[in-house]
Amino acid sequence: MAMTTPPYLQIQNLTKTFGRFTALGNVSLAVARGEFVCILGPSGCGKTTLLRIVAGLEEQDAGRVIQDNRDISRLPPARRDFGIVFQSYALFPNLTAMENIAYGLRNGKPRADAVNAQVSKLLALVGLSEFARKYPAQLSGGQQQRVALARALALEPGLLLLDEPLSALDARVRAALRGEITALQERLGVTTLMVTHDQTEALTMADRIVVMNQGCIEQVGTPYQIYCEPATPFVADFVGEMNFLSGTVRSERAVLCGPFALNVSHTAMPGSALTLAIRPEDIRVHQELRQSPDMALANVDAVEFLGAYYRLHLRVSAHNHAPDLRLTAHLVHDAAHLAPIAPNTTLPIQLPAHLVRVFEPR
Amino acid sequence: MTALARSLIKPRVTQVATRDEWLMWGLIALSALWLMIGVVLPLGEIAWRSVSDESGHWVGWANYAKYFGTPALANSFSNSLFVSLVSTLIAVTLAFVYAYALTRTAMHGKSFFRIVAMLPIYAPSVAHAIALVYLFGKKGLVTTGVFGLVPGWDIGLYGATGIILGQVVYCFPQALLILLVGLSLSDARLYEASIALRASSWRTFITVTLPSIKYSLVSAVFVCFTLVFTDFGVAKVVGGNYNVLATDIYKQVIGQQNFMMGATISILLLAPTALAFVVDRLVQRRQMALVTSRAVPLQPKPKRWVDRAAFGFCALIAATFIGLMGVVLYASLVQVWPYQLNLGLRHYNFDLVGGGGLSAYFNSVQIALYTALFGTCAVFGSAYLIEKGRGVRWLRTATYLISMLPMALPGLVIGLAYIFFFNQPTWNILGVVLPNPLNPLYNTMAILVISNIVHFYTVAFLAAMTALKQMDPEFESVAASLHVPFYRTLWLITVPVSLPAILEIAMYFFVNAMVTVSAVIFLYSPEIKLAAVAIVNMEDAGDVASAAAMSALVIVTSIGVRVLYEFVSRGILRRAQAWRSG
Repeated sequence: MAMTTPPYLQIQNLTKTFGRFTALGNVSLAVARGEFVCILGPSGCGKTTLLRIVAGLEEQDAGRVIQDNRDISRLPPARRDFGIVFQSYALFPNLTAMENIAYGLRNGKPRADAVNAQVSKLLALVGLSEFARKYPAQLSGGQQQRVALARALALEPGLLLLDEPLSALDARVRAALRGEITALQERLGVTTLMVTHDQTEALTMADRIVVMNQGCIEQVGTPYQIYCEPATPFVADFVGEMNFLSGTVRSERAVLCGPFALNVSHTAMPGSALTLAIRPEDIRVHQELRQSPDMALANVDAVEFLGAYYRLHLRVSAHNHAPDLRLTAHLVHDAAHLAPIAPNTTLPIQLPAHLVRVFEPR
Repeated sequence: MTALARSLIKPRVTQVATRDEWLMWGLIALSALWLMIGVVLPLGEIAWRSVSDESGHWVGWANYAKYFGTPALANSFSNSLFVSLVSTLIAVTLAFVYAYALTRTAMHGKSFFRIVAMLPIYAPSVAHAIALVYLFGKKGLVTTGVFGLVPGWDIGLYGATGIILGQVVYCFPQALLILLVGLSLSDARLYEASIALRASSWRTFITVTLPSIKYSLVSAVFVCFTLVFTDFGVAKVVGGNYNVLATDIYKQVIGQQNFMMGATISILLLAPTALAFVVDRLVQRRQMALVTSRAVPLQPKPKRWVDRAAFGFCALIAATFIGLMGVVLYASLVQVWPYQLNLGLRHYNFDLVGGGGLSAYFNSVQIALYTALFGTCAVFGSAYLIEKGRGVRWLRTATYLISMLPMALPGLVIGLAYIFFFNQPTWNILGVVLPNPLNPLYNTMAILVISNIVHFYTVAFLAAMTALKQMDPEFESVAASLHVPFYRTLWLITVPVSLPAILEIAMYFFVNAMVTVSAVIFLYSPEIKLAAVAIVNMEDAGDVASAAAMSALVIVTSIGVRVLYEFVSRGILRRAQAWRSG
């Protein structure tokens, strides 16, 4: 982003409390024009409150919202420039798909043919031309969601807000709609802010992901950064699966963790404790144990078959009566055939140091 | 810094108000103002009168002391309590069995029984009493043994017996409605679990059925108690020398023109009903989370003997209700009871008796129509602003709370309060004397309509709130994002979607305005007489047959309008609400 073009949407120091509950604690965020940003977090993390404040549906206690160089902090929703899609779709049940889409267009005294042309265009855009005269109750969940999307885009808003738009749909429809929405967003180039608690949705759809927890932003980054370079243990745990291990610093380049001595970079003093994290799919299974500081023998406690892969529950004995390390590893079929795996057998495993994340205590 | 301190000093960001916001706030203020004039100020006035003397001086508890110091008056307080408790007990028990039969057995004729059970709603309470007089009175069918054909049976109608009989009939449908809701909110999975655990049916009833409906039971008890405690019509006709609070107020005000004592008794009448109301609201709040959205409705399985017994019981109740209506109709047609039993329409010529005759009837119809029209607009508009409005939260909450108040107000109290509030020619506000701007309303049809709307406000308001709460709360958000003003969305979306509830509210207002006596008996003027009041007055004057004829007219009208409404609304809803069928 060049310095000369300011962000399209700027959220500055937003704070919102409900009684004693802090929904948002000093949240700031910048979104570029045409960008698709997902706000990801567990329920109650403040993500929906953030979206509703951007829409003006909720009044913030403090902070500013600037859209397209205009301070909209104090404008009521009707004076702002956004389209919104809710989890419930909120389609008007007594209007047909066509009338729903035309709802905002018929405001004031527009020409009927202009409205009809625009509605037809939007219906075609979401692939629902033959359902124009159907009522919401006569449409499937996915079709209703597309009508809601077309309605939100009808006034060609500068900002599209999506509040858990796919949560009410079943898995197959959800997967299809994910692709459709991103394709549509890219084609129209409309700046989009989407709230979701579903990490797959965020990872597949977003240009950038904002991970929120307890009213604060934990990390902002591309899907790759969020998954592969999580900034905090919360992000590491919330997005994908993660094994957390406690380690002790031995030297500048070595951290001890049970029988493992891992060559990871850190800034902590020797002797201090820190947290190591490794994803289940990054743990490697070998056929025989080699003499290597990042390898050890693990006991297989249980094996779960998940279709695409096996999930192994592993236990590694530590020295000096320290508690055993417990790990979860994912193994795809090929690797599973490589070493016959059964409960209560032992298995040589490796923790590749370059795939291990280090979290130092703050 | 504590959370409280933080919330007090935090710099809140408030949105700028546009023309639409100001319009909405203005309308909210208007509905608050209407409730101030219709409910709060008259109520304050009557409370003040109960602690002051005729010239308006503060006398403290003197009026109350005088009331309880007069044995004849104090007696009626305990009389009221007694008949209310007994009637409530009987009515709720009968209604419970009836509701259980309708929801939990596989008996035949359920839809018929459901309709017949509602019959008493369409008649003034006086009409039930008149029916009782024709059955059990001195020359009644039962007392004389169908005019000597069989041995007679005198039950000693006049007094507590008569009042209790009449009240049971009068409040049975109300109790039934509440219990039906409670019993139909059942979860079949609980019963299946109970059967799987091999619990006996009695144990299932005690551990599954009763807990799930205890809130409805409590609610039904309080509603019935309030109805009986404050009803005036039945006690007036069959009470004999058995005085109750409601008839006391009437005697004090109409008979002795003792308004202060009337006000005092009103407040006494208000106390238990207000208490019942508060308890009921607390109980209702708990009811909410009882049934989860995943509950599976119960499908009763046929059980021969249970179904037969249920059918027998319901048939008996239904026959009683139809019989009572039939007796009123028959008595209105008999030439001279009990001597000339040939039929004719003689008693429908009201010219020879007092009460206002047919013009009273047409006044009532007119007032019922106005009440339905304006009442529905006021209730739905106000509920919309409270539930869907934005901003001025404190005013919306206050309006909501005041909207709950009329439920606790007996009609007689409303009527008397309106006399005090609207009839006084001047207002004395902190020593400044102003002409009362609302005084011209006195003795008009308007005040009758207003009192009816207030009298039946809360039930209608709650129905409107329920309908509005069922609507997606994001409709307004979406409309705002599309820059559509709220009144357009109200007209295009909210009203059409809630049309069934709106029509039901209008119906409720119409029927109740048609049959009510209690509020309007203090407010009608010689020029504007009313059908239901005429029944009381004709009965009072000994023209019982004419009273029966007027009762029959009122019953036929309210049932007729209901039937008409069912046909019309089915037609309208089918055409205008095609979208409802998915």
